[in-house]
Amino acid sequence: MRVIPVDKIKPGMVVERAIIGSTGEILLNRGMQIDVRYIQRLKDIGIPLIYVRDDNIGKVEYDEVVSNRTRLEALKVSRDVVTNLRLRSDFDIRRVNKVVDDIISELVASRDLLVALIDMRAVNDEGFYHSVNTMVLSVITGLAMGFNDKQLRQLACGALFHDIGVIMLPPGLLKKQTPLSPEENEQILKHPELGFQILRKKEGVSLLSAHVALQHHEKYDGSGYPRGLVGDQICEYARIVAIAAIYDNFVGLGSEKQLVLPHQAIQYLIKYSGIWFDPEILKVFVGIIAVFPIGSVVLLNSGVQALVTRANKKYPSRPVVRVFKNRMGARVAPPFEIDLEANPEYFIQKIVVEEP
Amino acid sequence: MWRDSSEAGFTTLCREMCLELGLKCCSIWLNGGNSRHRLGYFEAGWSIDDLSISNLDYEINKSIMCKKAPVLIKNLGSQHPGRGSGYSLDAMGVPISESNIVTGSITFYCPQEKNETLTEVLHQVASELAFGIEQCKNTFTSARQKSLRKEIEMAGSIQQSLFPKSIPEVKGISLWGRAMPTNETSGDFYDFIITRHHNLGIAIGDVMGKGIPAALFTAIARTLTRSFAQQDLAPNVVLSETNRSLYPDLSVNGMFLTMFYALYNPQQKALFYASAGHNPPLIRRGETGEVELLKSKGFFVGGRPELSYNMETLKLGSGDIVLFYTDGLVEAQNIQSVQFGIQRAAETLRDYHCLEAAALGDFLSMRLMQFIGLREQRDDITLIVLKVE
Ligand SMILES: [Fe+2]
Repeated sequence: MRVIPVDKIKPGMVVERAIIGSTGEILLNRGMQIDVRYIQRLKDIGIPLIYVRDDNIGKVEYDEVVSNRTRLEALKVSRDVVTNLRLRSDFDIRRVNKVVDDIISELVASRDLLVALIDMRAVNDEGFYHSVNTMVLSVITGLAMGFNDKQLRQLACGALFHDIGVIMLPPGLLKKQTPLSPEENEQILKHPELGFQILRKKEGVSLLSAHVALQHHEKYDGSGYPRGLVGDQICEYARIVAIAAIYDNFVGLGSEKQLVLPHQAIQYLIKYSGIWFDPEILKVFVGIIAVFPIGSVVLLNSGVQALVTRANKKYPSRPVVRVFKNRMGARVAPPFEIDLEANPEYFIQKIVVEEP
Repeated sequence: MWRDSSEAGFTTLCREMCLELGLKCCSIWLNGGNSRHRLGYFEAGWSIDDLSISNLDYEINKSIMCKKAPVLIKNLGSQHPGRGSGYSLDAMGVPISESNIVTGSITFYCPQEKNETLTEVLHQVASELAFGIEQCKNTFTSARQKSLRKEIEMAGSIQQSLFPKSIPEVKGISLWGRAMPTNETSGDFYDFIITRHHNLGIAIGDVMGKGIPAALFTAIARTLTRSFAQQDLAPNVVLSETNRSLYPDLSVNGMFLTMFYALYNPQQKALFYASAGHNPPLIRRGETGEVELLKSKGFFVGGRPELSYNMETLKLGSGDIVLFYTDGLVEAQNIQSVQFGIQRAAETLRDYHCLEAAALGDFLSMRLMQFIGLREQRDDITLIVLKVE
């Protein structure tokens, strides 16, 4: 298995990791053989890269932190919530709770949780994919912070709906390509308040979750909105979601040409540690992201090319890699593995994602 | 045939050995400096679909390089039930040595009853192969004179003693170090020393000069420093004592070395340090995010027979990061002859300040190598990161 950018896909390649569309449908299932039509389809919806099988490199074990079935369900639920809010200003909280519970119990069940796969999302995401991802990242962070079940549920619900207020904005405003007028800008700044009002009135939604929507644009140093809260004045859940949402926006920005890789996104977050983000929570968050995702190709200092096959929770910069090209560029057959934690004389010099 | 330095030649050789000697799988390895290459690989009629086994030849090679002796792992089959029901396999490896220096290995899997007779034969093959390997090695390390090869490899084994084998665990801090020599000989050294009173000594130094004499002096300097450091001597005393002991030999050879020595006291969270003309380490303060240099004046070791140094004291706070380095870091150049410089080093500390020492060091190494890019690294680079939790 390895990651390849969409423009390098050739007909006949076999999909290794299912590709999920932004509205909760499976675009390409695992094991499917790709033909010309699919390649065009992937390009059309703007999927930047996919995981394919590679018999030369061999099998790689990987874990979707949340099963595809549950993720699809979460995407559907969030879409239905938005539709229902638009049509009748209400939604079914039981379905939300059910899927939140499913996600939490899946995450609780997996040990050594690490986000170790590269994000593959369509550019046409209307925000559902982002909401679900923000929820997953937030819950993993909450778990690492030792939250109990009740806290995790409140956090998850707040994370899933942190941007729910945008449905009250005039349609098209967020997608506008031209610069916004001062009035339009003002409207956008209202979405935390609007979201808070929706959630606050909803029976079965904790007030703490509603506060996530209200405070997710507050910044640690007080430079955020709507109220300019500082440090601990911002509720803990909102401080978590602020980090998760921005991280997810960042890796989701990637396009075919310019991928944003986890280590770049993390570097960006660290820059704003203590300014936008709670430094203690950020530290925890950084620990749940595998900086070198499984399936990406790296260049070691010895000049060999290798594929990342296993993430290392304790030393994220030292995964296990499988060497498949020697430094002369010749294929190593069969490939062999090096554990970078046990062999510190080797280190990753560059991440190349795909072999050049 | 194996005098052909191409890898195809070695793979053919592996095949020949499998067919002629009844091996199930055979690979030839070349080691040098801090790299290893599988030159050839062949498997005969027994497919390795389990990576833990196919990895084994890598492990065997590693163990041979470490112990400089043949390795035998018995009963592979029994470790992996359900495979090869008819026979049980042994995995073996013999070193390839040239003038008593182990330069690589042949590793193979063979049916159990065969291994006695095979060892003999393979030792012979290994000694024949040494020549071919030597040739291949020369093509790997281009632009290096063959006649120097042996000396260099000798120095290479000296070099193994220039850097600590493991990183000590010290309460309240994370610690990391890495040497990136340009070739088998290095003029850099570093060391972590746990002193008698459980303080941590950190030494980093750079001998001005290249090649084998430099590597020898580096080794001596490190050993000396270690012996002074272990007694909890103050950093300025460690440096002046090192100078006193080394001055006669250094001055005769017209050499000198720069060195920085720091003593960290985990109880007081205080760093005491002195410098012998060495590049000032960087400190990033956890509280303010500001980056400063740990400046301290001092003459390089070997400059004068008697030298005294100043000791500076610095209280460390939570989140503080100290980066010790040799000049190779700041002087590393990219293809446009731009230097990496202290600014980029400081930026890297800023960009990754959340991470602990090992990850910070890995990212610094990565950024440095990316900066150097296609340009060849010209000087040894040594880095140490200390981070207060
Ligand atoms: Fe928002």
